[in-house]
Amino acid sequence: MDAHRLDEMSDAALDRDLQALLAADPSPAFVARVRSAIAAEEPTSRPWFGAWSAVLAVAATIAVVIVTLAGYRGSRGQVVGDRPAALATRPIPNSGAAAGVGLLVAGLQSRALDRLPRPSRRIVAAPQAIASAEPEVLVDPREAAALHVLIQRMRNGAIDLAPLLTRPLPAATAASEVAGIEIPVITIQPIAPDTGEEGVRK
Amino acid sequence: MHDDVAELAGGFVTADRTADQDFEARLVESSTLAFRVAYSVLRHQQDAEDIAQEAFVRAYRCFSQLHDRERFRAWLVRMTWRLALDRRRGDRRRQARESLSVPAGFASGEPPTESASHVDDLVARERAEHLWSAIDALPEKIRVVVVLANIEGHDIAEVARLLALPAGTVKSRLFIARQRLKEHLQWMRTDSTR
Repeated sequence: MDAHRLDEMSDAALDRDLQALLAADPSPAFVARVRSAIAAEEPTSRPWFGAWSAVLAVAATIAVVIVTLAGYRGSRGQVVGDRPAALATRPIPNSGAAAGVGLLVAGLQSRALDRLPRPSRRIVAAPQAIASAEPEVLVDPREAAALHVLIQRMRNGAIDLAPLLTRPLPAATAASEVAGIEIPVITIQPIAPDTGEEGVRK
Repeated sequence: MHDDVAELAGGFVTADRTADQDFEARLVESSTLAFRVAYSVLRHQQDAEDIAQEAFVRAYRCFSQLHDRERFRAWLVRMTWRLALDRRRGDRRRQARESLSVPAGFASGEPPTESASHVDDLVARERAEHLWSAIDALPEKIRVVVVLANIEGHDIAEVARLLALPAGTVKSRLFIARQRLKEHLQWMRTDSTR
């Protein structure tokens, strides 16, 4: 740079000044320092090792989760799938007391359903999806359908069950007297010995 | 089976050795470039070496994508520039910077002679300060162009490759940079002579 004639400074002079200004050199130990920093980095930063170890870890985690979920669902599906078949063969009680109990259950279920928010109803309707620690209440699908229809008709007013609920249950009949049983004394007569010599075939 | 595993492991080891050799070549070739880029921002020998070292370590981590020489140098320059700017911005607390070092031959292109007086040294130092000040006053996009164009004799095409810019853009930015530097230096000279 021509310090006395800056106004006439040429591009070449300016570039020469800039080059001289930027011509700093690193210390002789700089490259060695970089080498040691990279050597310290090396064990943990192999690109292929890092990428593959991360991929393997994620894959292993996903596999464990899938196996666990599959096993859990399988066991639940078997239990829930077997029981309705057993229930299907069970006769539906038809007595008055059973009807009363059925109505009570229906009422309770109706009230429980009313209290639950909308999304929960779907969960109640599909108990297989529930992973709960509480004991599961199993209802025969036909019974559940009947109860559902009953509840719906009660709500519509098609069925009025008030008389049934107010009707007194039949009183338990007194047990009749049981006559005493007389058992005659049994005497056992000894068997008369055979005449003739013992061991002789007749 | 064992032979296959050994062969596979041997392949990895060989690949690693080759990659290390490639990286070593890049390191030797580009260490001064990275240092000078950092130094142009920080103007501190030790800080510039730290930043250049960090850039090389990062380059090593993703060296699999940077095997190509041109790509490696361009990535290294941009990373070093960014790291240096971050360091400079975050280093506001550092008040006492190392005194500006005037490289040998700054004023005349020749090493200083024994007859160089103390006054000449002070004048050269002042000129260097003016020039640094003028460089600092440039916008960042223009500054990086003028710095790279004056490091290691890079021509416009080389600067364009390093910054992934069209050559025309580099040329126009270089022109603007020179104009502004000259204006700034002239203004400083007239201001100091008053």
